Amino acid sequence: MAAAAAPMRVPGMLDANLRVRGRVPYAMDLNVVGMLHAKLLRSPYAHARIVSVDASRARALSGVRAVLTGADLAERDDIYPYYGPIFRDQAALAMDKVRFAGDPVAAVAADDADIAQAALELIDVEYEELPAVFDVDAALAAGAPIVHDEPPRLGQTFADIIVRAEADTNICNHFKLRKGDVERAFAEADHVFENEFTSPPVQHVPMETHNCVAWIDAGIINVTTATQMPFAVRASLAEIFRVSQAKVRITTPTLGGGYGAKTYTKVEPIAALLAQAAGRPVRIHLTREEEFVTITKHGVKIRMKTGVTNDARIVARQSTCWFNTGAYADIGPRLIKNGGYATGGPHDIPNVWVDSYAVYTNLPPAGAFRGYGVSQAAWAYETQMDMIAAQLGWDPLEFRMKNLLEDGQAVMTGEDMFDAHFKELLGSAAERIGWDSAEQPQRTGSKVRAKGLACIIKGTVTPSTSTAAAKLNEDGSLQILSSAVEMGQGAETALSVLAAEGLDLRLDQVSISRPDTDVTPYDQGTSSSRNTYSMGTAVRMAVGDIRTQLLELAAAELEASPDDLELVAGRVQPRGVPDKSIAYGDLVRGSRSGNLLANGVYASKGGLDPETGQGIGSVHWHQAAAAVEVEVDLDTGKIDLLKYHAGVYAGRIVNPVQAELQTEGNIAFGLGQALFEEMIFDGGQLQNGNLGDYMIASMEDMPKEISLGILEHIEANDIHGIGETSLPPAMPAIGNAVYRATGVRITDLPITPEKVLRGLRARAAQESAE
Amino acid sequence: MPGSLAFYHPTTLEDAIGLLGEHGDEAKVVAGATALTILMRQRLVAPSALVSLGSIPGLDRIEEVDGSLRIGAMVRHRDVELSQIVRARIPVLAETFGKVANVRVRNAATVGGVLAESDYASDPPAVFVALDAEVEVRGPNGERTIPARDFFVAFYETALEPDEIVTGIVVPVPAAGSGTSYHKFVTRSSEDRPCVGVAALVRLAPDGSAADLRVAVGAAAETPQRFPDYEALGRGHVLSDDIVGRVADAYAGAIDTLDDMRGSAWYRTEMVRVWVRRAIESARDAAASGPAAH
Amino acid sequence: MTAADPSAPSTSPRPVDGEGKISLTLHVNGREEHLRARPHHTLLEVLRNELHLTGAREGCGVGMCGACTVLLDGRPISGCLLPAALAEGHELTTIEGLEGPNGELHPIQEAYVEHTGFQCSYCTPGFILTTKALLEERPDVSRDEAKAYLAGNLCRCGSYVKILDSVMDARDRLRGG
Repeated sequence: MAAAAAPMRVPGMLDANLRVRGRVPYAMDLNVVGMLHAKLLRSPYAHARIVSVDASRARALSGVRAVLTGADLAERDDIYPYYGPIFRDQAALAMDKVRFAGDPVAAVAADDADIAQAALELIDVEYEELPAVFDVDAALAAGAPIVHDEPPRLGQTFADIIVRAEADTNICNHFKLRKGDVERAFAEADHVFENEFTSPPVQHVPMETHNCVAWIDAGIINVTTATQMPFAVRASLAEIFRVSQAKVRITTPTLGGGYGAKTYTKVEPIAALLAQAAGRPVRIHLTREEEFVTITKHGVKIRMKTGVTNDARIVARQSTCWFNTGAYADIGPRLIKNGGYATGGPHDIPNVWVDSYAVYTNLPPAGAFRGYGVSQAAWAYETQMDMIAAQLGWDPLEFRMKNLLEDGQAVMTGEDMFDAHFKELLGSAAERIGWDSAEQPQRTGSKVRAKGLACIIKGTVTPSTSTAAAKLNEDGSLQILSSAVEMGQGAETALSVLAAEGLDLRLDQVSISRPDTDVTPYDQGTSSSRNTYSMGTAVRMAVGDIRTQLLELAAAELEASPDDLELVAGRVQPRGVPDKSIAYGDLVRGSRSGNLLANGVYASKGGLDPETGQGIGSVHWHQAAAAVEVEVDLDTGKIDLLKYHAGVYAGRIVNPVQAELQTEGNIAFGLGQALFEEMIFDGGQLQNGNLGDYMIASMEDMPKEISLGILEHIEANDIHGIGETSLPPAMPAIGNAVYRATGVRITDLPITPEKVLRGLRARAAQESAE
Repeated sequence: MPGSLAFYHPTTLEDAIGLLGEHGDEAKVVAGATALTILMRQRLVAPSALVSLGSIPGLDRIEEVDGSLRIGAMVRHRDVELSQIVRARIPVLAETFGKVANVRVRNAATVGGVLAESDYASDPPAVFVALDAEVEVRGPNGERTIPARDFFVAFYETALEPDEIVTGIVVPVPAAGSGTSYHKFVTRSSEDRPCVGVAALVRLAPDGSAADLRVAVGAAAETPQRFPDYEALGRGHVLSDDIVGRVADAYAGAIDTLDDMRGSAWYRTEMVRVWVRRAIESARDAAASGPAAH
Repeated sequence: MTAADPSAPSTSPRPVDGEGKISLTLHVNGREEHLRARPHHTLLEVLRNELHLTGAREGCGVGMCGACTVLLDGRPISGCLLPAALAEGHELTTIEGLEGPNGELHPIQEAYVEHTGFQCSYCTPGFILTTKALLEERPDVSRDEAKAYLAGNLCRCGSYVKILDSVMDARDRLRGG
């Protein structure tokens, strides 16, 4: 803005006052008159044929208003009771068989939750247990039980998704990347390393579990739901009820956390089906225990082969990734693409070959999770980088610096890197932690200290679409209609800032809607760290259009050329002539349009070739580095985090406080996954599906000292989402530090004290044998 | 059907005991309710009657009686943690109760509750066993006391009869020259329950040898583990690294450790070895440097 | 804790109505509230479903996360672990009780706003109430002590650094004022 006043002071959250009062409403706070409460009966078996379901006693219970079973859904031809963003492989209630322990088989809506719960206990289900598969090796073995023996049900999906399901196997999808000639490069490499890395399934644990209220009113299916993707849910429900999307209305209040858990359809179909059956509004609100079996992060096994030259150049990498996608595909078939290509890393590697598989098993479904496959990939490649460096006696920092991408070098998906800051991020992280390659671990008593580094690259979903609308009212206030979901990341604040500065308004003159698919324009979803960039671009386009309209209206009024006018503090004026300014509101009224209207449509371009995985993988590339100092107790294997530096590239920082919060949040998320988070299954039964048995990071678990390097580069005129970027380096940086402290290399997350102690004992045994 | 739960608020112990007799297995005693609410939520128990002890006067006192502290069953964890008299007379007890769960649970959970629950992964039982505490219980036939070391029988199982109620616990104040310690070792978050917890008491003779040594290990097996025979390895000796190591090895060898998500049996055995040593060292050092009763 | 009706015989159960509910009298945010609930209903359920005080939220149901923190006689407890019947006779404070008579923010709330000590803010009422209890108990609390005291409140967004900044600022505001 030419004559902009002092830079806007951006508050952390526009509605902070409501939030500290506990008065921001979540979906679960909505009460609709006549509302019933639903509970789900879930399968105790991981894989079983449903022989019969007898719900007659439940239906007879006083206060029960509707009971549904899979058979009730199967016999109707007015509905298509399947959902899933790529394959319609998940039924609202299991029909022929259950595919994981926790698969819903019946649902009850009753006057209150106690009655619904009591009714569940009156439903008799007869199962015939089937052989089951829980890990990818078993699922891919010859003669393995097949999780989905029916032909895949495909439907409308996203432009970037390549589907290559293999019939009569548990392979749900296969992503291929072929760049250069890896075989020749391995033959010519001076050293070739091949290792296997695993990451376990973990859960998102949003403090607010999945919940929604559904009701059918005048033929419109209404659902207020805690989702990151209102439009995906709308499409799903329209398909299920065989109605047009215009007959489904999804509204979404603020979320109590998402982290990917709340992408795509989850509890909405069964709530809407119950509402239809009961003729009353229905709430479903999952317990924490149910949340654990609703969606998870993919457990992954990655075999990684990397060839290097004697002068520390990486010349080839071949990765095979097996993502355990659980019983239903959810977004797994896309996630394996991002996780697969990500194994190429932030390095200039001329020859890359990736086979990435989504594999069905009889575990709860895995889907989007903060980091979206990149954490699992980074755990593999950034751990292997240090293994190579240790083996060849190289400094892990120098080895990385020699190979990190620069502008103009081809990323793994073939396009040229631009706006590269890897070396700057890693270099400053190393400096902040006091990296010195000659430094020996510091020993005090049984404790030993050392440092570790990691640096990662992450794409954002490409191509993708966000749209927004802007209304300038006759009092000069601006309303933005957007379907961006506020889930604590400050979406509303960021978009308000971008909107306000486009018209030189104060923040209190701008309002942002919450998603309402009847009112707010389409957005693909609040995920993939795309909102501030993608929706932000759509908002700026809409506001830019309003600006043009204002300039044209003022030009006519002032008999001047629009080029000679400027917008200052809610008024249009000839440049530098405030005396002749006209308030926006006066221009709106003068136009007799009631309000000025404009749309912004941002659709990014790109996509990958299905055979080679080459093309445009990401509209721009997210970049982060981490440096950590750990202290390990050699008697117990227990790891303390002493210092942590997170570096992340932001392009432009729209909201400094939120940028810090998101980055600090990634440290908390990352250390949990590095040190203890893991869903433990025994025969498909989750052993630790509650917060007494599954730990998430507490305040005391945080590193004792934290520093952030949120890198801004205004000249690039770009905004990089940072919601996820600083997460993936956490796990390998910690693992690398533990190795430098102890000589113990852990390749299977999490890095528990027990694994470290076993490693120390094995080393001691080896040394005494030598 | 929901609601078929009778809630009783007896005002005397006799009435409470009578209700337990009347309802048998169908009744549950409610004190702080922290553990019971979780068990009911998880449908691991489904009582038809709840008998609250909250209206019975006199169960929430901490008093010093004949060289012991008597702590009532309804005393909250946090009251033990903050109690001036506990901090002055048996500081390790205050410290241990301060390490249980979080401040909210400590404000609600009671001393009687943690005893009656006999959860292997809690902190106070090992300390009570190490300190030779005695549990006071009341039943239809009157009062009796049960040594803490005999009170915990198995997973969630105590020596309590079905119609008996814990009324308090008597903890002898350690003799002058004693040092005590409790180490809670967690393997995951700070908020986790112990993988192992070790309580130790060392009383030093004027010549620097250990006149008394007591060690109890919690969370490693179904019940707190104490081995007088292995304590004897240290008694009468200067607690050198070698002696302490022998006691630690003996404990590690003797305990049939369990396996859970906080550590395998092998790892727990190794942690018993480490933390028995560290607990004895801490208690020894406290005895050497501390005030008479510390 | 005391029973609702001291005149009722000590060995009679609380009377239940046709829906299996008992009568309860709770003192919440300085007001006396009469309501009915089933005997197994927790304080959290009653606050949310009967009194429509929605600032206390279920996060885990097992006392681990602190999203349902309520002050009982000034001390934080987990609303999800306390049968509502046992909350009778005590002064209960929820986040809704912290505001002044005209909706003024409590200095602790102001500090959380100032430092943005939250992201999704689902856990925020629990943190603020726990902070209140902490600062009443220890007006001069150090950052490390505050960390240990608040470690039992979980924030999955991981806003811990700014939560602690808020707590330290709240301490200074309350000491100064």
